[in-house]
Amino acid sequence: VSVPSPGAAVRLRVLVIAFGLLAVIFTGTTFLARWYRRERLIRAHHAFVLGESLEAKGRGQEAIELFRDALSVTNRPEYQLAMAQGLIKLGRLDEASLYLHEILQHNPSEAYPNLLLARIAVDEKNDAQAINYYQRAIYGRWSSEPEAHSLDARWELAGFLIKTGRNKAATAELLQLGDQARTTEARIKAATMLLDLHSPNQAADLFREVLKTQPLNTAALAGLGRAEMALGDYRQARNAFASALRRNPADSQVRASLSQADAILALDPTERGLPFSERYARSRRVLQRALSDLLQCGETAAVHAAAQKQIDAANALLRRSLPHRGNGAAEEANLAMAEQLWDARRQACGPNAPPDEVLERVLARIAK
Amino acid sequence: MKAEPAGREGSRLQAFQLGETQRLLLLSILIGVFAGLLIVCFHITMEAIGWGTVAKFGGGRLALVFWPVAGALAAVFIVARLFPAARGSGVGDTKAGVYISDGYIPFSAVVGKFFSCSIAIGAGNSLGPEDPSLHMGAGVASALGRSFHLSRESMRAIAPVGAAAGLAAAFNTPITAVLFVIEEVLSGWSAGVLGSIMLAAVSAVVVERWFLGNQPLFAVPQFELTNVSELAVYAAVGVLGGLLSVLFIKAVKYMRTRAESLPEEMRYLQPAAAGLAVGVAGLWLPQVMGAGYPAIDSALHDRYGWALLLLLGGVKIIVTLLCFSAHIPGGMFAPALFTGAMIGGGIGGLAHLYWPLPTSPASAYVLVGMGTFFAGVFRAPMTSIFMVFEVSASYVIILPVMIANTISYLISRKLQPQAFFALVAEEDGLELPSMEEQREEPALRVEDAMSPPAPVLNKSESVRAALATLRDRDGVLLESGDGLWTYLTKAEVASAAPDAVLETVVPIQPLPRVYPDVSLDSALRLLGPHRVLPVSSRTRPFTLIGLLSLADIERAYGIVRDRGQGRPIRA
Repeated sequence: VSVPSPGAAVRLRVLVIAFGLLAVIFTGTTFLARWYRRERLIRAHHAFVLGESLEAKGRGQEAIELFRDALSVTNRPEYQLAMAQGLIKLGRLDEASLYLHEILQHNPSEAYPNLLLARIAVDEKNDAQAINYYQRAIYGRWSSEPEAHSLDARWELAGFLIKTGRNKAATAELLQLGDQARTTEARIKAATMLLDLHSPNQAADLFREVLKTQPLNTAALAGLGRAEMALGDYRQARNAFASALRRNPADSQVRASLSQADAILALDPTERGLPFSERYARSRRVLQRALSDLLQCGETAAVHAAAQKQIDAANALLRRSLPHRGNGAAEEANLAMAEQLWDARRQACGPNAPPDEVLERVLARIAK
Repeated sequence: MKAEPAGREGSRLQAFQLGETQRLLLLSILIGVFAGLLIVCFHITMEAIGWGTVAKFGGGRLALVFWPVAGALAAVFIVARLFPAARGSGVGDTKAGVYISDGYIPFSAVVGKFFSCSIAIGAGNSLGPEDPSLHMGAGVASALGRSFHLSRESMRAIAPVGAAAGLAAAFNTPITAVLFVIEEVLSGWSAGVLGSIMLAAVSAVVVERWFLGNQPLFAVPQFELTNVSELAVYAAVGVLGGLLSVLFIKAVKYMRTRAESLPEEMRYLQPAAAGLAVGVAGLWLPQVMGAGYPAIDSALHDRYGWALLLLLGGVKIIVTLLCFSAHIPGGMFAPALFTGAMIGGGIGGLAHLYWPLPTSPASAYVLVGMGTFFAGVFRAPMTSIFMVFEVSASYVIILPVMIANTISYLISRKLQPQAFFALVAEEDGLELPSMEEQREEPALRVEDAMSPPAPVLNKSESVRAALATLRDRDGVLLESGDGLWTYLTKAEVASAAPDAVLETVVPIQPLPRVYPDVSLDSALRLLGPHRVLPVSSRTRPFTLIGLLSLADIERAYGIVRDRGQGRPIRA
C-alpha cells in the first residue's frame, strides 16, 4: 500500500478551497448575469419605445438606430417589425426584407410581415412573389381583429391583381370579398369592382343581396342598374335606375343612365308585344341612326367610296313606304342593313370614333 | 479507535494522488471555469459602464466627447498608480510571464486589467477586450498553479492554458483561442498541453454561454461565392489589408517612440487627447467607439454603403492608433477585426457596383476582410483563417479567406520584419521569443551533419581481420544481424585472441538508427552515450548511408574544437 505524500493533503485542501471559491463566484456571477440580462431587456425596451416616439415625430433615421440598439439585445418580433416598418419608410427595402424574413423564420404564419413583404415585392415588381405573400397575409395569423385585417389584405391583393391585369384571379378574390364583407359599403365596393371586371352576373347578385336587407340603398340600386345594363336587361335596368333616382333625384349620373335605358327601350324593335307598325318604325329608326352614324364619322371620300354600296342600299330601304303585310321581312331587311352599316362604320371609322351607345346596345341585342 | 479516521483520511488522500498529467487536466477545467466566470463579469462590467456613460439614453453629444476622455484618464491612473502589472495589451505580458517569469503572472495584473480595461473600453475608447481577457485568463491560471504548487515546467505550461480560456470566453470561439495561443504564445506543445488548452477553452466557453447565452458574436448571413472571378477581388482585399497592416505597425512604432520621449508630466495628456479624438470621431461615427462589434454586425448585414465602410475603417485605424499609443489599457483584437471588416466591405461594395462580373454583396467581403488586417498585424495566419471559419460556420468561405489572409500575411512579412507583439514587447524593453521567427528558422537535420559510411565489419569475421581494418581508426561498425549495427572500439578488439570470431568475444549492443530527415536535436538526444549513430534510409533501413558523431553535429552547428584541450575555439 503506497503512503500518501504530504503534498497530496495540501493539494486536496487547495482543491476544496478552490471549489468553495468557485461556488461563491458562480453564485455571485449568477446574480450579476441575471441583473445584466434583465437590465439589457429593459434598455432594449426603452430604446424601442423611444424609437417609436421618434418614428412618430418623423425622425426615422434616429428611430432606426434605436431599434437597432434594441435588436442588438434581443430579436423580439415587435422590434424587428418596427425596424422593418421604419426601414420601409426610409425606402431601404432590402434591409427591411431581412428583418421581415427573420420574423417569418420563427413564425412563418405571421400575417403582417407577409403583407409588408408583399408590398416590397410589389415595389420591386416581383408580381408572383407579391401574390404569394398576399395570400400568406390573408390566411396568416393577425394579432388583433384578424377578420378585418385579413379582408384588408384581400382588398389590397384584389387591387393589385386588377392593376396588373389578372382579371380572373381578381374576380375570384372579389367574389370572396363579397361573401366575407360585413358592411354594405364593402359589398357594394366588391360588386362595383366586379362590374368593372366585366362580371355583371356576379355583380348583380351581390347588389341584389344588399338590396334584400337595404331595399332603398341608392348605390346598390344604381349598381344593379349598371349590372342589368351590362347584362342587356334594359327593362330591369330602367326600373333600378328609376328607383334610385326616386330616392336621390340629384344624382345626374343615374339620371343619364335612366335616359339611356329609356332610349334603348324606345329604340329596340325586339321588345315583346309591339305591333308590327311600331316594330317596323323602330327598325327604320335603327337603320337611320346607323346610316347617320356612319356618315358622321366617315366624312372623307375614301370612307364614302368603300361603303357607298351599303349607303345607297340603306337610302333605298329608307325611301320605301310601310309594307301592307306585316310578315317582318321589311323589318328584318332594315335591321340587316343597319348591321351591315355598323360593320362598315367599324371598319371605316376605327375604334377611336365614339359610337352611338344606344344604337350599339340595340344592335348587340338584335344580334343576340 | 483513533487509527480508523486516520486510515480513512489516508485512503482519501491516496485517492487524490493523481499523476502530473491528470492533475494538469483537472486543473485546466478549473482554470477554464474560473476564467469563464471572470470574463463574464468583465463583459458585464464593461457593458454596464457603457450604459452609464457613452451609451446612456439622452446622454447628449457632450457626453459622447467627455466620457472617452474621463475613461482613458481613469484607466491610465489605475494602471500607473494602483496596478502597474496591468500595463500592456495582454498578449506580450502573458508571453513575458511564460518565458521570463516561469509562468508567474501576478494576480494584481488580473485585477488591474479587469478594472482599467472595463473603464477604458466601456467609456468608448477604441480598443478591444480580447487581449486583456487572454492576460486575465493566464493570470488566473498562474494563481491557481501557484496554489497547487505546480512544478516550474507545469507553471510555464499552465499560463497559456489560462490564456486560451480567457480568449475563448471573450471571443466565444474556442478553436480560434486554441490556435492563437499555439501560434502566438507557445513555442512548442505536447499532447498533454494541447489537451489542457482545449479543455480550458471549452470549459470557459461553456461557462460564458451558460451566463450570456448561446448567441454567436455575429449573426453571419448565408455566404456563397457568386463567381470565380470574385477571387481576384478577395485578393485585392488581402493586398489592401496587408498594406494597411504594415502602415499600422509602422505608425504604432513611430507613435510609441514619440510618446516614450515625452516628459513624465505629459503622461496623462496623451490618453486625454486620444480619448478626445475618439469622442469627436464618435459624434459623427459612433460606430468607431469601443470594441465596435455591433458595427461589424451591421456591416455583415449590408447596412452600410461602401463609402461609409471605407470611412469607418480609416477612422478606426486612426483612433485605435491614438488609443494604443497613449497606453490606454485595452486590446487590439477587436479594432483589427473592425478595420479589416470595414475595408473589406468597402472594396466589396465597390466591386459589387463596378466589377464587370457578378459579385457577392459587400457583407461577404466584410467577413473575409475581418481576417486580413488581423493576419497582417498579428502574423497569425492560421488563427485568422479559422477565426473567420468559426465565426461564419461556412465552409464555402474558406477559399476566399485563405487567399486574402495569406496575401495579407505575406505582404506584411515582406514589408515589416517585426510582428506587432514583438514590436510592442521591444518597446516595453522585453526580449521575448518571436513564434513567427521560430517557425521560420531553418532546422538542421542529420543529412546536414552526417559523414560518409566507413567500412563495416561482419560478426563472423575474425579479430585479426578486424584489427587490420582498425589500423588507422579508433572504432568501426559491426553488422550484428537483423539490420542492426554495433560499435566496436579498437581497445575492445585488441584485447581478444586474434583467431577468435568477433561475435564470440565482443558484446553486441545494437545502436539506435537515425534517418537523414531527423532533426539534429533529436539525433543528439539519441546519440547520448553512444559514440556514433548509423544513418540509414527510411526506404532501405538495412542499408547504411552514413554515420553521425558528436563531432559531426558540432561541425554542422559551426563549432570547431581545439584538438589539444577539446574546448570550442570557433562558433
